[in-house]
Amino acid sequence: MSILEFNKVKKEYRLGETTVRALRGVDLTVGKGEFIAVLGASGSGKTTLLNLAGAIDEPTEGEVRVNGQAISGMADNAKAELRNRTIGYIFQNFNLVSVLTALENVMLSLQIRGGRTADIRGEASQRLDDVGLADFMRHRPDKLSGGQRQRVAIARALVTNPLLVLADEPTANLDHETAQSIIDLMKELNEKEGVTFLFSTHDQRLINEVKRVVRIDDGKIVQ
Amino acid sequence: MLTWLTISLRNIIKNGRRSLTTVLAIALGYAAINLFQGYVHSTYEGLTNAAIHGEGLGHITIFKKGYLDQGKLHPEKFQFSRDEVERISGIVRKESDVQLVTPRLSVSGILSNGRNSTIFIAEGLVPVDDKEIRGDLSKYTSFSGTYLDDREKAGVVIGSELAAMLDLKVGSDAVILSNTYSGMANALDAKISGIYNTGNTATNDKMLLMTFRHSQDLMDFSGAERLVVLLKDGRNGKNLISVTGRLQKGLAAAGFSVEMKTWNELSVFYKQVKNLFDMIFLFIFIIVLVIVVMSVVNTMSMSVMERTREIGTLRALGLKRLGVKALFATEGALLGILGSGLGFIFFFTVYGLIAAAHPTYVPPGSSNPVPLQVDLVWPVLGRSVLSLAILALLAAYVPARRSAKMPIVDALGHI
Ligand SMILES: Nc1ncnc2c1ncn2[C@@H]1O[C@H](COP(=O)(O)OP(=O)(O)OP(=O)(O)O)[C@@H](O)[C@H]1O
Ligand SMILES: [Mg+2]
Repeated sequence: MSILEFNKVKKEYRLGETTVRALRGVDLTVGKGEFIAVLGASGSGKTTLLNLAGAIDEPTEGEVRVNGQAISGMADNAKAELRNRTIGYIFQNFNLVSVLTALENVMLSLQIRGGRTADIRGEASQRLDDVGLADFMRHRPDKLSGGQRQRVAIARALVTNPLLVLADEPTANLDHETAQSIIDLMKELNEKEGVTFLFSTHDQRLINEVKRVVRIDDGKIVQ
Repeated sequence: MLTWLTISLRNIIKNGRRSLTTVLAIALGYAAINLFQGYVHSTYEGLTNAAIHGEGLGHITIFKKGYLDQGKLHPEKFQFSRDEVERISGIVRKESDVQLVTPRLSVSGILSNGRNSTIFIAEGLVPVDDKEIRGDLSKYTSFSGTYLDDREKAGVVIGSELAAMLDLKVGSDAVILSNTYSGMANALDAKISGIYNTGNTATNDKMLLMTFRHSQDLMDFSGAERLVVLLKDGRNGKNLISVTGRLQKGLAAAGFSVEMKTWNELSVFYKQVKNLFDMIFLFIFIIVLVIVVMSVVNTMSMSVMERTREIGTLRALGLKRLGVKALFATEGALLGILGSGLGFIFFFTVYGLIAAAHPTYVPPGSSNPVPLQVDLVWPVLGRSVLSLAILALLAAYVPARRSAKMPIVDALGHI
């Protein structure tokens, strides 16, 4: 069964008089365990696509199904739960909570869900260990390098064992070497644990070894 | 939730300077409210004592029905006869909360030293009962001479200003003139046995206290104008209402139609001061309210604005709108509690200074200096922590609600 389904999805933004057509009819199916890169130039609609996939935005037309559920018209609280239980989000600029330590940031997704703090702490530190940050648990984000911050964000996205992990240009703020290591880490998690990834980038070099690449241009999938 | 508390506390510390301004505003508000409340509390206590014991109002006064409306015009129609006094007193005494019941007669007329004269208002009192109500008069005010005594029926105690006007000293002779209820002029000899300060400039130049029997002679009357009831120690508060109700019923059942007034209804001074203080308190409270709300709304609006992207992130991670509101409400409440905590320290500092320095002042309408005192009223101190925390919470809720409603995509795109 597919985890994510786009059916003739259109997304328009109104900017005063003009209407920006960010997506112009996108069909896409993502199956379990896939590792997909969305490649496209700036303004092509990558972020829009991932936002719809992450149930943090709604399509103007067409249908987006996450884990079989159509997100249009879903109640806000139900969408919040869907995000918390089935989706992991990794952002371009990391978006860590600055007053929380690395460990506390990772714990956050689980705490939103609820549970015993001791269990949550255990799972979160295990995840930080997985991404190679066992020695940095008590560090605040401003004491971490860009690559380390993105690893914390990956741990935070994965700690809930989501069906689908979305990453919008996770490497855009990193130098090439670090970017490659982040992609390698995601790939490793995909291969070892079967985590499904859908990530966007505009850097061709990073995706040489990625099996499935979705090219997007001006709001349409071209290949 | 503990995490929200952690995030809130750390953000408050992170924005130290801004938080401090808000916390200080709340602290000063807290201290102001509680110092004033403490002062009012001590003043009320003093005023209550002054009214019940000092003014000799007792707790409850029983009048003949209609007296309060028309008694001043037709005093003769609204007096209790000697028989009524005895039977009513008997019924009242059976009430277990009652310590004593005593008759009174008000008289007014002219006091003369033989050469000059001036008007007086007088109370005819049963000396032993009145001593029980007022206790030692010198406790409240400066008193010289001796108090009323039935063995000295013609002895009178007068206000110090009245004494000064007529150049009367303890031991001086005087003449009191009045009209009896039947309209005849009557004059009696009197001897000044005591002089005291009534504590009120409005009465200090008119007040005269005389023995009940002496006042009966002056009015040529064997009954009483009213009956004053004193309750046992500590029965003032809640009991006052219920005792009044029971007495009312008991007397009605026995066929007496009477009216009753409690001390706080009768003491004009108490009512005026209370109204004034209530007004001032409302004024202070509104100012504090406005300052606290504006300060918290301002601080929290800035916080929310700066953390819009964080809000978007948390929402993307699955936090519900309610969770966002809870996060900022927690921060607001925390500001309220920290502010009250600091305010508590301010309050105690000033409280300690006042307790150590014993300052005194002469309040308006009073002729004696009184100590400036602030009471420790724990329930009020506690309640104001709670109300300020809730107030700050509600003030934080306003900007939090706005941000919780914001589309996640917009919040995430916020720089
Ligand atoms: N909130 C918005 N309001 C108006 N227009 C928007 C909004 N978000 C995106 N757009 C427009 O929609 C189009 C697609 O934007 P999108 O952000 O999805 O592209 P992108 O591929 O992620 O670009 P980038 O590589 O720069 O991140 C662009 O033309 C953009 O200007
Ligand atoms: Mg983008």
